[in-house]
Amino acid sequence: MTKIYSLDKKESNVITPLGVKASTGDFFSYLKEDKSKLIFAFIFIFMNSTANTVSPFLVSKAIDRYISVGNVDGLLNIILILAGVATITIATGYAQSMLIGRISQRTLYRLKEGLFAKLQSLPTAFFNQNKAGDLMSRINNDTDKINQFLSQWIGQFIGVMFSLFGVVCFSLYLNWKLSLVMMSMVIFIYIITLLFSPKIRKENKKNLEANSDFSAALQENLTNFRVVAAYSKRDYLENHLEKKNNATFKSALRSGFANRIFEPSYEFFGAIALILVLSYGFHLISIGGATVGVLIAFVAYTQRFYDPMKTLATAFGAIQLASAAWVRLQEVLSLENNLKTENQKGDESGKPKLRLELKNVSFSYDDKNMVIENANLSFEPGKTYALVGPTGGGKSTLASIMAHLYDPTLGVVYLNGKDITIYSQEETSKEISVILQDPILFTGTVAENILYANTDFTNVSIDDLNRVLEHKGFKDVIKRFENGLSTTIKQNGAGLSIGQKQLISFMRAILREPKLLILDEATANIDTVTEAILNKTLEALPPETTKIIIAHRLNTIKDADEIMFVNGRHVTPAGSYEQAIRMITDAKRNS
Amino acid sequence: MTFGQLLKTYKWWTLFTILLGFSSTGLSLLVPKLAARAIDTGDFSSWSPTFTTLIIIGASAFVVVIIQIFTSNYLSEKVALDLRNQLIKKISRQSFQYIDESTPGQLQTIFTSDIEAVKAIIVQGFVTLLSALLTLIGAIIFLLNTNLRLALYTISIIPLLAVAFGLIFGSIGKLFQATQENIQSIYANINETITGSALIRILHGGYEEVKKFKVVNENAKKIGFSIVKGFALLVPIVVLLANVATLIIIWFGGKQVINGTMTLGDFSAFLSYSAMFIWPIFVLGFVGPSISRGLVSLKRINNVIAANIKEESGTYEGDIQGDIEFKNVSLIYKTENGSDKTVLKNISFKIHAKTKNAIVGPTAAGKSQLFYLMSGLIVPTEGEIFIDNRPLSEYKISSLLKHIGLVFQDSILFNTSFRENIAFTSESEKNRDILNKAIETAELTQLVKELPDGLETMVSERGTSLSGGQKQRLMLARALAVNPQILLLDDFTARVDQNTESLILGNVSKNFPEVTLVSITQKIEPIKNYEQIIVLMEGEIIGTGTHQQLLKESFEYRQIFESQMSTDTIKS
Repeated sequence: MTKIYSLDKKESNVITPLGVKASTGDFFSYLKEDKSKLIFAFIFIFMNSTANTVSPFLVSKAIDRYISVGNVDGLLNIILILAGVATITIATGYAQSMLIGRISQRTLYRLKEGLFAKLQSLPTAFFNQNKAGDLMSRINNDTDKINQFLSQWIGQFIGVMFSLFGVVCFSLYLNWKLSLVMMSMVIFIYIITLLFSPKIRKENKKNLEANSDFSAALQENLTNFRVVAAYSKRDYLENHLEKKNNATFKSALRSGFANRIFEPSYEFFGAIALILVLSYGFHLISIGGATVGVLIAFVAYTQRFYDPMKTLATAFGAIQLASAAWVRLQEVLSLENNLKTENQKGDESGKPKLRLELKNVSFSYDDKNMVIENANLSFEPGKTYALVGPTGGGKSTLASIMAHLYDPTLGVVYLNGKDITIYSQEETSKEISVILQDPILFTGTVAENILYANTDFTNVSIDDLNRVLEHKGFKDVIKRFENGLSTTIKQNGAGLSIGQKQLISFMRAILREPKLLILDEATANIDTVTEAILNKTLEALPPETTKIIIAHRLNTIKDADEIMFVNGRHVTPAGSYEQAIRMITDAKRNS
Repeated sequence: MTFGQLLKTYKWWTLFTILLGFSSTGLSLLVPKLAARAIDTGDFSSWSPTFTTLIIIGASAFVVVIIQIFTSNYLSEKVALDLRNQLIKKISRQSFQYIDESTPGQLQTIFTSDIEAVKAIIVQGFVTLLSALLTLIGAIIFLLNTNLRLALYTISIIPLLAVAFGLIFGSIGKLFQATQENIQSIYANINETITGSALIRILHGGYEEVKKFKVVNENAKKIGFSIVKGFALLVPIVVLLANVATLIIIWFGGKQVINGTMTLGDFSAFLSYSAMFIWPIFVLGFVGPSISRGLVSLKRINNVIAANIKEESGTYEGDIQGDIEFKNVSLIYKTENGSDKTVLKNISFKIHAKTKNAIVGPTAAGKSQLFYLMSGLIVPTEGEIFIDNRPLSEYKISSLLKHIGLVFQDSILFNTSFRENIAFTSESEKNRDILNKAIETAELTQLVKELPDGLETMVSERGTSLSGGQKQRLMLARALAVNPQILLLDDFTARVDQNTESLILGNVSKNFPEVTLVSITQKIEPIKNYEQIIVLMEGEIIGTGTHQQLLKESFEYRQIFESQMSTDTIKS
């Protein structure tokens, strides 16, 4: 298993000239839910644009039919009609804004929800291969780029398209020759757009990456600030971040400029078009092919044709940016969990009497170096096993495989006689629990942490929880927290020592009464007196519980039924306690 | 700094941008005028001066707009760059406590989302607003020039507009603050789900994470809706007033043309200018939200930049011997509900230079805090700390830390090379020997040899490719690379097997014989021969002395010792 989840290595999809088609397919599925709203929005936008386009036409009629012949009554009529049209414009404009706003907020919501849910579906390996700050940037910032596009530009974009359509129709009807002249510049606009789009999209991608990079560096250094402070490396931090900052500056300059490069060009072509319209218009008037009113209307139409083009230009920049952002989101959304679960083809021929069995299990993180080689281990219900060995020898890796955080590279892990890949994550989590070396806590109270993901204890009061835990022998442990179970915990238990955090982990794991409990250096940071208390609570687990204890401390393992020795890829049974001690003291650490 | 100050800093760029705004606006304002003149004079020949002028205007507008895009882009990015650099400078000087106590996600949000909002003021807001205002003023001038009476009628809608805008923006300001705070929560949420990923899978807690995220996400949607609702009103108001203006023009203007008091050409020009008059109003509606939001973000950024940093009063920068003394030191925190939490109570002890000392005691916060106090990272609430008989406050902390190597309890590694993780430097330097000595002492030589790129190999974020013991040894190497006079080990050997532990402690004695060692530990066996053992329980010292002394005098110490393995069995 190489770094298949690493977002670093991703290459973006092939980009078509307009840069949009390749990745928008999936995006529309996010909008599908709001299909009816979208349709209504389109209708309102259409009405709005039509109303907008009709006005100059009516004005032109007003000039030709009434103003130039002095018909005041007719003028009044047309004013009333214009007023009616204006009312429609207002009403539809409001409705359109509300609908578009709603749609974009809901889409943003679904995007973020989808990304977060995807994170939950991916295995541990994904998180080990990527940076926290980068993921945060994608879920928060990149989605926002798409939201901005939706909320600010979709209404405008569609409105512009309709307006343009309306202008084209009316102008063709008014005078098709003049109309063609007016629209002639579009060809040039299309050509330069085609030419520059891929480059623009690339610059946007680079900018988003630079921003992600900065976020990642910032996040890491904030998390590790203690070391920065204690080693007086503030200058180092400052330089490191300033360098990343400069990188974002440079890429932002490039992408910002690129996104807006179309505006002046479109404007320029608009000016040329106006000149063409005027000259050809005068020519037509001179040969009687058009009226002055028509020319005046066309001056307005030209403006109404190329001004929206400018809007399109700006919108186009936003499309490129949103598109680049969408690609980055797709990089995450397109990942699939390689870890096998609910595997129909799993082998069910293991020994059902064994709680856990490893058969010819080998494991490597990177398909090159084997961390575990050909391990054959059996764990019976009710027994306590100890895994000992020097640091770096593979003990925690073994624990990860036993808890099915990783699939073995070779061989099979059997849980209760069946290939562990047959079970769903939920089923496995009910059978196996692990107390990790580095305790993890979430913001909330001690009680909330203990009850995390525990489906047997929903809606239990603090008092009841206290009672249950005391019954299991945790009374003295709870006292270590200033407000007992109601003590609040800040981000990952800042302010608590590792030992205290570990106490919570213990209570959390034991409350679940797993059939197999793996303790990975669980008491390494706990004083021996407290450790004795915790060991007693382990004894309170049901007798058929299998315990696998990974430890260095000799007195942690002295009551184990069987001891196994793990060093540099190999696992050897150590038999008796004395033998184990001999192996430990004689062993040469491999790395 | 306020927005005004911000602009002052960049006054030359700002002026230049304004100048460009004038030019491009002025140029575009001329176009309808010229078209009007052409219609009125009936000047139909294609090579007349009017056309030539139009071409020149078109070309100039093109150039000017390009330059304007560049300058406004540059201005906004420069502002962002400078603000971020100010933030970086401030953060890196901050106290360890400040960073610890800042709400998760707060700083991340300030650096990203809030900065983006300020940028938007300049790009979307400031420059566009300026051109819009200029266009507005220009259009008004031309309107007044073309037909005074009609112009006055048309302009009368502006005060109404101002009132409407004022009301709407006023009520929305609070929502932007809420938006930023919500973004912070989302960051915090995501961070927790990432750092806790292994546990979440073991417990099948994905649904819990989704539940938690749903809360903040729903909140984001709610706030977003409210903002949408507020601003949706802008459009109808603007359109209404714009259309009223158009109708006024057509009715009164039309009548004037019919009466002969206005030419058709002027009427056409008037119509064009009124379009130019209306566009800026739309822009104001479009741009208003960005400016409103940006100002809220600017305030948040300023709060961080302006935050107090306790000035370093100490000046002593010399070498130290390593005597440490605590005199009646207490550490008291204020908890969330306002009550006091005493972490350390009346601590007094003396550590002599070049000796080995241990601190033992039950699991609870307090022991680590002793180390933070010793290195000046936090200050005691009461009492005084002395190093070499000189008060800690007299030392220049940044200089003092160069002599102290602190190994934290939990592994803290950076996503850089091994070398940088140990020595914070990426180039080979004169201290190569010290680096090697540190690696050797920490028993890392073998590991380094096996790395694909040796010391230049990258350590993944959070060190996920290393075992617990390997991470701890790396942290030790980092402490030793400083060539410390005082070495503080916080539960260092917890993750390291016994063999390696004795090897390492032996190495430290051999390679760093002059060091003052203070080790927080659970295991008594390895520290039995230390010059001093301090027993700490619930924030108070309950005994100090040698192992033998404490066995005799301290019940708690005896209890701890007896709960651990006896020496005989190990030796067999």
